[in-house]
Amino acid sequence: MNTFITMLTPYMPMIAYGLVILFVCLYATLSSIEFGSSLLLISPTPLVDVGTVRRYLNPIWESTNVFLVFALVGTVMFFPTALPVTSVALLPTMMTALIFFAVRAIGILGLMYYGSVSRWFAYLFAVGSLGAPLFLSNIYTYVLSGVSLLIPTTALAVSLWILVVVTVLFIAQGFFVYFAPANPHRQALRASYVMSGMMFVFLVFVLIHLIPDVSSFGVWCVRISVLCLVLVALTSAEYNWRLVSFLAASGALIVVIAGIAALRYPFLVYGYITAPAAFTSVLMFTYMLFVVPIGLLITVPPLVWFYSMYARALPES
Amino acid sequence: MHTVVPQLMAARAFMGMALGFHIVFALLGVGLPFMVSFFEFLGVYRHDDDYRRTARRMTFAMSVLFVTGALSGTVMSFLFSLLWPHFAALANTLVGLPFVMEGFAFMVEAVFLGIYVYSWDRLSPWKHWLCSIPLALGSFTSAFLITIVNSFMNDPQGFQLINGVATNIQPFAVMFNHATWYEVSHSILAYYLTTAAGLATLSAIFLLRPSIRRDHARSRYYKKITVTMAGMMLVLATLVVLAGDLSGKYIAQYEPIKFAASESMFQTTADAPLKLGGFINNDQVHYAISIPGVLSWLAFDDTHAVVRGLEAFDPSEWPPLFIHYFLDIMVLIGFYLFLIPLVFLLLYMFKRSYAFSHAMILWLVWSGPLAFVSVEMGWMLTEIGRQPYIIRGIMTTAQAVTESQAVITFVWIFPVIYAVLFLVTVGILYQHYRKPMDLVSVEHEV
Repeated sequence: MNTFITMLTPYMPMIAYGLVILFVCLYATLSSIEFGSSLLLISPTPLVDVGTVRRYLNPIWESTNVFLVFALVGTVMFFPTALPVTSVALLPTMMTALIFFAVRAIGILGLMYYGSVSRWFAYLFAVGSLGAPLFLSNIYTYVLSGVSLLIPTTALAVSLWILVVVTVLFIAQGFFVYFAPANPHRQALRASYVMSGMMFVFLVFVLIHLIPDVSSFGVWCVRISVLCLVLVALTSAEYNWRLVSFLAASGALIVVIAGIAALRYPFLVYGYITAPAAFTSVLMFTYMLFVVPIGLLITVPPLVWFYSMYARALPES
Repeated sequence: MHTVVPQLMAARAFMGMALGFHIVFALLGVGLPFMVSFFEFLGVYRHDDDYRRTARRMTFAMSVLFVTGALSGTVMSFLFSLLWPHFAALANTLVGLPFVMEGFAFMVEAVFLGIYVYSWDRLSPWKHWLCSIPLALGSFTSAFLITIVNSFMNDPQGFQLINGVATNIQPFAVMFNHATWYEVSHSILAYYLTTAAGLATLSAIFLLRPSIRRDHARSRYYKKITVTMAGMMLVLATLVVLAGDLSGKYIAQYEPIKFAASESMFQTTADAPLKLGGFINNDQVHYAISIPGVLSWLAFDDTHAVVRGLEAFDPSEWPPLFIHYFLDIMVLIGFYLFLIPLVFLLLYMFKRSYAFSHAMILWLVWSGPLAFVSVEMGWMLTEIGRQPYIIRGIMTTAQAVTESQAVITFVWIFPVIYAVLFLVTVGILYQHYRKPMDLVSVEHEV
C-alpha cells in the first residue's frame, strides 16, 4: 500500500485537479438543464410545455445542487493554500452569484410549491438561474487568464458570458428533445436547438482563440471534438435518436470544460498558482481519495434508481 | 497579525447572520426526517392511518425546508472559504476528510428525499418506510460530520504546527477530539427535541381552534399527535439535559476560559456558586441567584472543587462576557421543555380534562418557538465563547479574516435576501398547513 501511494504521489495534484473538473462538468451539465428550463419557461415563443418543465424540476432539482457543493469542497479541500489569494480576488463575484442563487431559490419555492403557477416566481427563477452561472463563469475567466472581474470587460470574459447563455439553452433544449417527444411545440424547439448548437460551436471556437498561451494542437483537438459532438447531437435529434442527441450535447459541454482545463494545467489560476503548489498534504488526500469511490458507490445507484423511477412515470415515456 | 478591523466586524456579522439563519433550517432538516420515519413506522406497524397521514403531511414541509436549507448551506460552504481564507488554508488540510464525507451524506439525503417524496403511491408501505431510513441517516450523518469540524475549532488535536504548517497529521485524532462526542450528542439531540417541540406547537395550535374542538374526529386526531409529541419531547429533553451536563463538564476541564465567562466566574474559587440570572457590570454579577457549591459540583462532581475564574487568564483571551446570558436563557428553556411535557403527560394520565385545558395547551404552543431560541443561544454561546479564537489557542478570527473590503458591502445585502427567502418559505408553509388535516384517507394528503 505504501509503495502504491508513493508511486501515486507525483500524480496526486493532477488526480485532484481531474476530480474537481469532473464535478464541475457534472454540475454544469445537470444545472444547465435546470437553468435553461427557467429561460424556456418565460420564453415569449412557447418551446416546451410548462407542465413538463415543472414535472422535471420537481422533485429532482436538489441533486444538481449537490454537485456544486462537491466542486467547491473539492477545490477548497484539495488546494487549500490557494485560498488566501483566490478568495480576495473572487469574493465579489462569488457573493454576487450567491445572491442570484438565493433569488433562484425563491423562484423555485414559489414555482414548485405555491398553490398556483405565478409568472412572478417564474421570472425570479429565470433571473436567478441566469445570474448565478454568469457570475460563476467569472471564476473560469480568472482561472484561464488570471484576471478577476465582476462585470465582463475583456473579450474572453464577454465571450464566456455569451457562451453560458447559449450553453444552458442548448443543453436544456437537448434534454427536452429527449424527455418531451410529445411536446406540442416540438418543431419550434428543434429549430431553436439547432440554432443554439451552431452558436455553441461558434462561441467555443472564439473562446479558445482568446485563451493565452495554450498549445495549438490541444486547441484544435477540443474544437474538432466539440464540432463532431454537436453535429451528432443535432442530426440524431432529426432522426429521433433522442438519448444520443442529449448525451452528445452534454458530451460537447464536458469536452469544452475538461479540454480547456487540461490545456490550462498545471495552473489553478493562470500566472499565479499551480495545482502542485497549492496541493493539500499527501496523507489527507489519500484518505479523501478512498472516500470518493465509496461515496459514489453509495450515492450513484440510488440516484440512477430515482431518475429511472421518475422517467418511467412521465406520460411521454 | 492582519490589521483588518472593518472587514473583521463585517465578516463576523455576516457569518453570525448566515449561521443563525441556516441553523433553523438545518435542524429541521435533521429532525423532520427522523420524525417522519418515526410516524410512518408507527403507522405501518400498527396499521394506524393517523400516523401515516401525519408522516405524509410532513413530507411537504420537508421538501420546502430542504430548498431553503440547501441554499443557506451552500452559502455557508462558500463563506467558510471566502470570509476566513487563512483559517480555511490551515483547517482544510486537517478537516478535509469530514467535509468530503459530509458532501456524500448530503447527496444521500438529497436523493432519498426525492425518492421518499416521489414514491408515496409507487411503493408498498413497508418499502416506502425503508426509504426514510437512508434519508434520516443521511441528515444525521451530515450534522454529525459538520459538528466534528466545529469540535475541531474548539479543541484542535491530532497535529503539530511548525512555522504555520500543519504536520504529523492524524486525521482521526483531529476528527475525534475531546469535544466531539459532547458537541455531537448535545446538538443533535437538541435538533430532535426542537423539531418535536415544533410539531407539538403546530398540533396544539389546531387544538386551540373552536372549530377543531367541535369536530370530534379532528379533535381526537390532534390530541393523539400532541400526546405523542409530548412523550417524544419528554424523552428527548431528558437526554438533552444529560448531554448538556456532560458538555458542561467537558468545557470546565478543557475550555476553562469559556466556562468561566459563561458562568460569570471572575475569581478562582473553591465551593464555586452557581449564579442564575443577574446583570454583569464591572467584573461583577449583580442581582443573581447564587447557590453555593453547585457550580463546583456541576463542573467536577465535587462541591469543594476549585473553579478557575477569569482572573487566572490573560484578559486579551476573554470572550465577550454577555455569553452568560446566552447560557442562562438556553438552560432555562431547556428545563421548560422538560417540565411542560412532563406536567402535560401527568395530567393526561390522571386528569385528562386539565391536560387539554386552554392554559396547558398554550404552554405547549410556546414550546416550539422557545426551543428554536434555545438552539440559537447554544450556538451563540459556543461560537462567541471561543472568541477571540477561530481555532482555539492557534488562530484568532482577526488572523483568519479576508483582506477583501467587499465584505462590508455584501453584509448589508444578504439580510434582505434572507428575509425575503424566510418570508416566502413561511408563507408557502402557512398556505399549505393552515387547513386542518384531511382525515378521509392517507392518499388525500400531499
